[in-house]
Amino acid sequence: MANTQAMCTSFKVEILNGIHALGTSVVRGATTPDSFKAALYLTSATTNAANTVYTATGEVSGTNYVAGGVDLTGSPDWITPASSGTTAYTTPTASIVYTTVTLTTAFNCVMIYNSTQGNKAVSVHTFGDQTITAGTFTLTMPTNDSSTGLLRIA
Amino acid sequence: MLIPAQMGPTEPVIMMDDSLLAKTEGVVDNEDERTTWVEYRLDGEIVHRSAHVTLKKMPAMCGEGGGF
Repeated sequence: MANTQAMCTSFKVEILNGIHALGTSVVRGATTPDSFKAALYLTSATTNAANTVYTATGEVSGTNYVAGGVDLTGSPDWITPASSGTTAYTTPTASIVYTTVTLTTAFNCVMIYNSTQGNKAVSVHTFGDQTITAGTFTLTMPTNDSSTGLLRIA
Repeated sequence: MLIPAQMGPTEPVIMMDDSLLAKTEGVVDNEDERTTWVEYRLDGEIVHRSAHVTLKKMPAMCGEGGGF
């Protein structure tokens, strides 16, 4: 046998569960999961890993679209974080749906952010350019596993 | 079937009978996503467009432990 250095897989899952605070954390009044939202961004925007919180800069606008986007509608918003092999992963529970919106300027990006914790950014995901006219835009999540889950710590 | 439609971005959304409209559908399927969309046009102008994007795979964050 030999020792092997690693980031413990349990720690990766616990990061997703908010168990560890290696720096200054926040005061939590309950053990319930936070709430999250999803905002859409124009193809011309510059939304990426450098974003720390939700921003209206570059966000889409149009009929029936409210700045800030929509709530994640799962209960809870994310599937319980799990691991497989050495990868921790989780994915939103439900599809993200923008109903009867008109977004005539091309967009290709969604930011998921934590509306409970000061709108802190979680992740940014891109897809092919879209426009919507008096229609519904649905964003369905990938399979929740260690190779395709939306958030994975490998 | 009645569908929501809009004659222009500043016009109200109304319900229109889809039998009056020209329908086009499409699919984009690649390693990152599968997207289906449907458009309805009146006199060549889009009055309804919906899209459904299914994400397939996103990049993972790497959690390597550091050595000494």
